[in-house]
Amino acid sequence: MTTSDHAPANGPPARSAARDERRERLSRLFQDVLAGDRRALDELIVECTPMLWRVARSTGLDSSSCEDVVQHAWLTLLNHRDQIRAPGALLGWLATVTRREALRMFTAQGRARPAENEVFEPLPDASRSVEDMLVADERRNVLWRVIHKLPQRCVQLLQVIAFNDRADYAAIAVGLGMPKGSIGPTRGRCLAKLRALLSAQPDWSQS
Amino acid sequence: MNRSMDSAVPDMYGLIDDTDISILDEVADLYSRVDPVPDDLIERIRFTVALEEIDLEMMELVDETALHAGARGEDRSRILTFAAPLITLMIRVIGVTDDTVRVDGWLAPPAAHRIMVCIGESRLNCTADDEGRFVVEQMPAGRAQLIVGIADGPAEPGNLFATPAVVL
Repeated sequence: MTTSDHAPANGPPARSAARDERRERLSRLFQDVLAGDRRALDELIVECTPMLWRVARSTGLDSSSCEDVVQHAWLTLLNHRDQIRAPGALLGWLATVTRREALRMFTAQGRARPAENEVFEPLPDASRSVEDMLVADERRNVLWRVIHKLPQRCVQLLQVIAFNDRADYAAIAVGLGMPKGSIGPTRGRCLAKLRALLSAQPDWSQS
Repeated sequence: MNRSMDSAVPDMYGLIDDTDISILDEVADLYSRVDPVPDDLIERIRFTVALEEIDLEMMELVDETALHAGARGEDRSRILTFAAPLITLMIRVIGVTDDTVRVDGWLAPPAAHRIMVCIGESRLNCTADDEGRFVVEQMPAGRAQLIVGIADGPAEPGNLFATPAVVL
């Protein structure tokens, strides 16, 4: 068991400071974008695309359509940037556009929209190869297997939250089409379930 | 591994403790391995976004040659040549079906330049090979504009060229 390289480097105070810092930075970057700073836009794209990628992928849409979806979200932002009043709302706005476009593509491809609580196989085009890929990586393999025992809503929420550095749950709520007030309780329940499942795994020890 | 409320701290949406946070870190790490953001996606987004933001250098249509009619659909086939001081783009357009065409392109000087085809609101992206060649296997026939981004050049004026909108 190699756990040491997964151990968190910082304690909670440092983390929460880092979170606030990130949020402020995003907000500042967006203000610079509004002022016409192209480099700020570049930075914003690098910073936010991984989370938008997860929002798109968490709908179950295939990888190449998700590329178009995320690209579409950024173009939409450029064309409507004057509509975003509070820079702090930026991430939520992007996440919403991403999700909406992903669901639209789903329908356009003649597939039924994924229902909120429906259990469908995430990453339908990758599941098999993922297990092969992780075969030599016991800890991640355990986590991958266990995550998919959770209800789909948990899988969606946790993967998106994980990429948002917990900075903006309101953004996640709209990005996942969940009521804002349910994010906290759902997060709590999903994490508790995940921890219970993990602790039942002989190969897992919390670092 | 009981949830220890002693170590849990409230954030905006409830209690979260160290273990939760480190699990979320591992979840992020896991997904970035099994389903990473595709290699060139961020580059493509930057390219696309830059186009909206800056003035492009226009290329000029310098030559248009109809290929002699032959096999079915080839009555719409022709070769178009566009030029700007630093770059030349030649494309061969062949009708595939009544509504779609195939485009074969060559860029000189040759390099792995980026290409974007704008058809109304939609965009097709591709990258030329080292010899400056690219293919769009199938795209809707009709008015389109091609945009070329110089290989490895930052998306800024001087590195981006646009053809006039032409009917392909």
